[in-house]
Amino acid sequence: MNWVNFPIFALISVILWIIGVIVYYYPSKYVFKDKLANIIISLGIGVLGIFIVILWINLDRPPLRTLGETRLWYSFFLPLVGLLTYLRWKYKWFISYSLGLSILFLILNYIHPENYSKTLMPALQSPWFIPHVIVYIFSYALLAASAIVAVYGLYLFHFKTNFKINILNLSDNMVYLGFGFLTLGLLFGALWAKEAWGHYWTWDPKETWAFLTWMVYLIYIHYRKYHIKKINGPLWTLALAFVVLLIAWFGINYLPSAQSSVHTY
Amino acid sequence: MHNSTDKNTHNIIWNFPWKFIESFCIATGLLIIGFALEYIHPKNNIAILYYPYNLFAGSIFISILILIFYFYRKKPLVKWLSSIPASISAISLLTFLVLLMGLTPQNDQAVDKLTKDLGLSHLTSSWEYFLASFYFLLILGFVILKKIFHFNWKNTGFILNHLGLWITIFSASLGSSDIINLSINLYKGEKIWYASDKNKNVYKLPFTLNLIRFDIEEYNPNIGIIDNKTGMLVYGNGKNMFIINKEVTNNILDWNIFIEEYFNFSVKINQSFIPGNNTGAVHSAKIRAINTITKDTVSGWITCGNYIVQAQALKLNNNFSLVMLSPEPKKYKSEIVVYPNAFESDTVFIEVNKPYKIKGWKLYQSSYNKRMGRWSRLSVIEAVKDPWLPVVYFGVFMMMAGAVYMIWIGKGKK
Ligand code: HEM
Repeated sequence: MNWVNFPIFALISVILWIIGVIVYYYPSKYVFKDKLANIIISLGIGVLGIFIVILWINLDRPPLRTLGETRLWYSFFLPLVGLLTYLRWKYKWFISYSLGLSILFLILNYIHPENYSKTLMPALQSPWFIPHVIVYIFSYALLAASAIVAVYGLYLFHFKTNFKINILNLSDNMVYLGFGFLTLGLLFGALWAKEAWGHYWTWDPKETWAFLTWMVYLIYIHYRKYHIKKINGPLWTLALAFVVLLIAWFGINYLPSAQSSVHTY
Repeated sequence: MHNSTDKNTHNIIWNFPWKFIESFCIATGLLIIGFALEYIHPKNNIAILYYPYNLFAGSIFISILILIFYFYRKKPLVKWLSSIPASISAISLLTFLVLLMGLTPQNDQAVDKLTKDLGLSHLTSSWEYFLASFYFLLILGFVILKKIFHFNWKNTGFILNHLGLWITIFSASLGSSDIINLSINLYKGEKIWYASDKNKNVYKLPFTLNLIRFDIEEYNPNIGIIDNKTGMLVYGNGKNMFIINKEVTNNILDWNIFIEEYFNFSVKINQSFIPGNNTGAVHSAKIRAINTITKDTVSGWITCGNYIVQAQALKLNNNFSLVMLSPEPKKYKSEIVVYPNAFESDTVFIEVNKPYKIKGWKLYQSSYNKRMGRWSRLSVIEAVKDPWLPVVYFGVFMMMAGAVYMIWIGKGKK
């Protein structure tokens, strides 16, 4: 079992990431400081990537089925999104946040590796599986970040006086990126369903909730565009949208309407 | 009206320009009309439009949209139709119905009478859903026309997203009535050229199929512990099960379990098993289990059994027994000779996730005789015809391009 090696790889990654974050925030005028931090963090991501490759080879299938394996990808892609987003949009706190969340998932996996399940049903054995899950992971990471911004914004708006509209512009950008990935995830899922089951959309409960999530973000995007100056409404919409997302992600297994879903594993 | 762009002058409802209040009143009105219509005269009972009538209806809808926009685009009502408040009301109306769909089981038998009479348990074929979709496509249609009318390359992303969505929903809704979904039962060595739908109506197919081989590859079975009294698996969040693997020792409850022998295909001789490949061969394993507390050791053969061989468990003590669970399929695949006409033939493989295309049909590996498992002589193939699919996919690919555009540009500049 290759999960045995997991703690070593995870520990190396975590240490590299912590060093990286310290370098980002270290008050120094050294010109290559940020570049150095980027490299250290990339190394950490690389180490985790190597672990995934080894695990993949050992399991003889993409490690994308159990919750533990999904979490592993999550902790791999969160820092990657964080880094890419940082490189493009320069949100320093965002990379720290994504690293923190990633470490949390690594710890969860350390406590509950759930490595006993080694089978993958035929419908899941498809080239669509990985892109489908991966774009969803990207999307959820960004939308989770936007939800945090929303909650932070609500706190500033209601309890402090120093709210700036900038904070909404920040979350907007994340929603746009996250929504782009969400759209891709939904559509990859549809194309995959056509190959596996013969129809691209069957209103299965999981599909219904995924679509619902997508629609709520659509409302946010358009509402924001219309009322550029409003603050409270958009912030609440954004926080609520993430609640819908969470239901689509986890809550679905507990809904009475979803007992016949092909997606409950 | 002349200063209609100034949002502050607008405070009397139903004066143009219409904003959120009017838009949401209209959406709510549609919802109520939808429920009432469904209650009085369920949409299910009304004939659906099949080809070519759906194509006519669709073309008329598009033409009317374009004509209204072209001639009346300066009128405040038409301006409202392409506004964001109208858009949000349309998106919200559809979202609300999808939310109801997400909360209500979509099964007329599983709900109370009122829920059923209001169409909530068959939402996608109800009046309220029809009206909401119509409103959605109407508003989105005007939104797109407005942008196309003032076309600018900067709007590429907008057009990809909005027109892509419109084409997808429009063609998927109109075309759904033309989808044919049939099930073909193939038995080894029999030529079959007919199929049946879910109401058991039989159709003739434009090709003939002959099943040569049906193969199932299975994972190694799981081993678990059952309670002797109830016969139920003892679950510890699924952790009291493991997949057979000779290399490792596993622990369940207080037992160390060793796999001494494991046969993928075997036959039973007296109380033990030997490798064998005859029809009806089963999975079997020789197990030694040691209790970590009492040091008791038990050993013996177990099998999950199949349609010929009876399952066999290993009794650990008075309370528990060790059992082998039926294996999960890893892959199933049909080797089929296809005759598109009397003179040609072709050997093909159909597998889950790998359908085969022929004459506008797609053939999917769907099922087999579950009782016989890997010895099934039956392979169930699903044949699907969806003539509108290329149009739907055209919209889907536009939306994908739009999504990539969004990720790349972000919110962009103000
Ligand atoms: C794939 C789904 C959709 C995406 C990704 C999307 C995205 C966007 C974006 C990013 C904008 C801002 C464009 C800009 O700033 O130039 C926008 C504007 C707009 N959208 Fe959507 N939208 C979608 C669906 C819809 C739907 C379903 C409707 C209506 C029912 C709608 C109506 C509008 C309207 C009216 C505008 C404002 C156009 C203007 O006057 O500039 N959108 N949309």
